[in-house]
Amino acid sequence: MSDDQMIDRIRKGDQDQALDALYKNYPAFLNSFVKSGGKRNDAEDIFQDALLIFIEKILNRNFTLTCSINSYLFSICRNLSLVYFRDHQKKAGIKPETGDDQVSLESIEKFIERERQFSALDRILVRVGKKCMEILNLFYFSGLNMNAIAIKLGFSSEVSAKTQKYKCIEKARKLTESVMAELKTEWS
Amino acid sequence: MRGELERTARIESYLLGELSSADRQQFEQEMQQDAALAGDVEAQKILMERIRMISFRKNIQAAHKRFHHQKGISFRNSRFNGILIGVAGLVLIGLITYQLVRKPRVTARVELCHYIQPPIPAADVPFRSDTIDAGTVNILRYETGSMLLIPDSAFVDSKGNPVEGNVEIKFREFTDVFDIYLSGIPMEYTTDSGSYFFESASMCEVYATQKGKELKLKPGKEIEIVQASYTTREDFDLYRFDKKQGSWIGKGKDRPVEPGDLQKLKRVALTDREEDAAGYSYPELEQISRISQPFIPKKARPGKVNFSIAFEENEFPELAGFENVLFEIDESVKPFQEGDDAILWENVRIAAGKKSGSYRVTFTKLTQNLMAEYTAFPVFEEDDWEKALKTYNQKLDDYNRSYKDKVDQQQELIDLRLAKQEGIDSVNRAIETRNRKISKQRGADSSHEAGMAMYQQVCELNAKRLAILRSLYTPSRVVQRLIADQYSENNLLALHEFIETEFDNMLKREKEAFKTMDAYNKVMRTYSIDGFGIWNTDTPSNLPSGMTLSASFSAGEVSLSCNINLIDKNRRAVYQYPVKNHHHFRYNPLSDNLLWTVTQGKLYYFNSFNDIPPEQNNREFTFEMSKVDKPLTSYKEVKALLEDL
Repeated sequence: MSDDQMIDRIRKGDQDQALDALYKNYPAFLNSFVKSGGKRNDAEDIFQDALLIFIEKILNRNFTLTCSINSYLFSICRNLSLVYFRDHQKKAGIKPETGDDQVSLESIEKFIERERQFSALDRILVRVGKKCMEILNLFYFSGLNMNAIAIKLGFSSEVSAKTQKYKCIEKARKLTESVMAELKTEWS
Repeated sequence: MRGELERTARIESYLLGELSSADRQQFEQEMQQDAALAGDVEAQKILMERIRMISFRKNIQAAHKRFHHQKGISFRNSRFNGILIGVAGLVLIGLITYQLVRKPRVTARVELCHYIQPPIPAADVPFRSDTIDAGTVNILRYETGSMLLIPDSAFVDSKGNPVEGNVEIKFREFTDVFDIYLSGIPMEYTTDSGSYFFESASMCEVYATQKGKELKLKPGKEIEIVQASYTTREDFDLYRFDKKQGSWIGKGKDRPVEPGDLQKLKRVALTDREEDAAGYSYPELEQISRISQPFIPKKARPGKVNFSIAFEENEFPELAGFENVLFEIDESVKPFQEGDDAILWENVRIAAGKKSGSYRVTFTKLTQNLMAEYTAFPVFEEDDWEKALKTYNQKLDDYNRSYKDKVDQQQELIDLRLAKQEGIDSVNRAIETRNRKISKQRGADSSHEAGMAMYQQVCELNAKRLAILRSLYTPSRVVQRLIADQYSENNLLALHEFIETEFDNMLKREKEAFKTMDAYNKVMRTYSIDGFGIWNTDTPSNLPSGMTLSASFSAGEVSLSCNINLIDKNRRAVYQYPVKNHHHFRYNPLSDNLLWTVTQGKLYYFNSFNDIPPEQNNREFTFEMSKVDKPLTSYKEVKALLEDL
């Protein structure tokens, strides 16, 4: 699969094959990470975070890639590793990746901080129920319209699917607000 | 409610950029004036973002699984797979060649056998081994008060053959959080809704071997485990650890039993076996009789009235497959009424008749309140009969085949049920034997009271010893002796050492006595296992909360960057904090906490949680860990060290 095809698939929400192709980079990353003194278990987390950052970047329509996808992914992995080694007070023979189109150390740090802050929320959100998560996922992630969602999930009409979606959002928003309040107390 | 939904819909439209420019401006103005609305918008925005992130992560994790799954298979080269499919005979040669010409690559393949990793291999929880006779009911008792009730003839070898003679039972239980930690058994439980830590009410591992070969439990046989626990709470479920997948699998519920109720413990028999006058009957056998036999096609008799009606083949499978079926009226039941054939009936119903092979056909015309009912037999015209006969022969073959399959299948079910019943009966026999023994023992020494009395006796003795020691060591007495020069410095040190040792011994004796008393008084949990391995009664729990610290750990000048274990002594769970989560370290300040780690063969711990001021919440904190210099060489030593922290 060419780089352009991969980007196209990710943008269209058809990510499985693209992710499978990207995962082929994992052994090489693992090898270099372990050689630099990192732990195997942590390598997995870092690689997954790198994929997440990568997808987020690709989904930004203004983003254009000036190097190959694999190089780009490796540069994200490298900067994530740097933060990891720094936090673990380890010296690693890795130099930060800099350049106009690279993901900077600063944005990597922001990403880690954001994911840390919201990890509790992610865990709590599943309390809205499987069906709700399915509706919200199909709408916000897969980009299906409400008519298609109604057919897929067996709602009697588009209107009832829509009403259910709003009920789900409301429930999830209340959970979000409670977690946000807790986070704000923590931050203050 | 409606208003709230509309508000939610409006926020969504705003966030998705679906509002017109004017509406958007108005909405933004409203947000400026209404802090609650602004808060809802912020929350909904975050929510939409997180739903996308959760889905991304899910997809990435699915890719991760696919990747490791592929890597778990020996074939790593897609070109090679083509050869494998095309030329099956060359598979082995191809594989060997492949392995010879290519060095194995470094991959993160999941190591199936390494899910259980004791942190200090020398201090792993030991098994107790007992040899039993496989032919009889066995009861194995353990120091903790736990018991295994093993039915007779319960074992089979790897090929399913029954095992006779001596069998070795290996059993170990994890009585507290330290045992759980030392075993290295993962206690994280992952579901669709997230990851939790197991709080365990009782956990054990059990195997059976003969001449070093692992045995299995015979299908239908179960071992009853009565295990000492600390709680009678009922929100615990039974789980079995899948060593291949490295995960816990739900297996239903256990049963907590109060000490006083132990005598009553008895398993009930299978309930779906019914007894009738002739003996036992089985619902499965009745199902066989319900298989419909094909009927022998008959020719329509000349001069007899017949008719043709449409019927559902599903409802009358015995008629399915036959073409042009006619129904001939059985005039011995009711003669044909002239004129009935001239009526245009509105509805026809067909049902099985009283006579074998007959049908009851009811014609109705409700508009004129007319009804006619006949008993009829299926028949065929001369021309159709030959064909019907062929269909019959074919159906008869099918019937014989399916009847035999069904009988075999049902026989297997019955055998399994009988084996299960036999297992339950033999466990019941074992329980009865044990109950008799317990009753006898209770009658003789009343174990619980005996335990209490022994504990009280030790406490009283200790109190006396303490009084003597105090009298020996009063400051005035020591000073007097010193003045009188009766104590040299060495004497005084020796006396001090003696007193210290004596205090330690007293404490140890009291602790032992308390444990013994506790064993008499323990709650038991009971469950049945249908296979060997690790079994656990657990409830999933979240990380403790109350104080949150951005933590670092050190011992003197050494920075400890490793997994940290936290226990809340009021809950039987070990919470593990990997390095990546140190910055979000949570504990319950109202509980009795202990944290420790083992790194490079040394044990470090921290238990002065009361010294952490509440103002430290959400701030950085360095845990100054104490180092234990004693070597970690055996289970007993390490356990004692951890218990004393």
